[in-house]
Amino acid sequence: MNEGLDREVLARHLMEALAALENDDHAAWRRNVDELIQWRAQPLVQGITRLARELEQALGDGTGPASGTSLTEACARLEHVVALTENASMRTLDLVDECSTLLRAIEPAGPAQAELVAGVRSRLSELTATQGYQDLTGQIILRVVALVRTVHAGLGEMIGEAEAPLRLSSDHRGHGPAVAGLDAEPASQDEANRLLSSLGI
Amino acid sequence: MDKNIRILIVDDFSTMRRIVKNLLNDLGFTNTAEADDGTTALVELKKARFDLVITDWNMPGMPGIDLLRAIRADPAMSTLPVLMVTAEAKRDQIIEAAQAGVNGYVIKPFTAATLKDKLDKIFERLGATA
Repeated sequence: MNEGLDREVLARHLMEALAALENDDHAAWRRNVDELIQWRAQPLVQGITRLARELEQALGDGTGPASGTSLTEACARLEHVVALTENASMRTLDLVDECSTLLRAIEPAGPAQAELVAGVRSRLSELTATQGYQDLTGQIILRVVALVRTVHAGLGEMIGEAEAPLRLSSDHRGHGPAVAGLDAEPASQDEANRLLSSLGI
Repeated sequence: MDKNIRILIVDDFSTMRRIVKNLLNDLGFTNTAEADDGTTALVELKKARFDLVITDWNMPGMPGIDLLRAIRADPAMSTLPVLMVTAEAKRDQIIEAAQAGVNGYVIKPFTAATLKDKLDKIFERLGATA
């Protein structure tokens, strides 16, 4: 952009705004101030537009121009991962159920065998609890999906309205599992126990 | 301990509902029902009597902390025990849940032994106050 021309246009709007103020011409005052605000916001808008384009390209396949839907596609792919892990987890739980049924059919011949059967049963319970990874990874992935969708929608709004704030809703509904290196260190079960104990629970 | 108590499991992830249900079954508790967020849980709670609620915190509809507050605010179920099973592990969240009247707090990922331990503790306290 031509810097000399910029300065000239800026000075003209400033002078016209000053003249409008002195003459009580509110419409002209507002019009010139709006022009000045728009001029000031222009680099920000250009920066955001560039970021939006780069984000689209980064999430695209890199073989051509951004399709405009790559962010949406990225979300769909992540949701597909959640569905796949959920299916795998359900299949594992089905197999645990089948093992439990088979185990019930075994009649232990003595205390030693009864102890073995109890040991297998206890490990099947822990195997069931371990499937909770699907819920934890799913929560993290769905949080990323929500972030990408917020960025996608927010960028569109910001390009039209530079002052619109872009932020994820931060209410009391929870944030999902903490991710090492990104979130604050989460409390362990032992720490939670001590904390609850100190609160009389 | 009466193994026939009615337990409501609240979690938006069907996998986690099934996990909690299976673990409860392993412990001998088979009388369970499920809801996928606080709003549907409240509907279930108003339809039938429950003896325990096990709820997640972070759910797309009404979160678990609001469900806990709604239970405590309703005279018909204000004393209903609530165990929170959640990945929310910030100190201030644990305090918030405690202040809202939670009876136990299990942080995901958890073991079957931890769930049993927390349930035992809740029933023990209930037995002591009964």
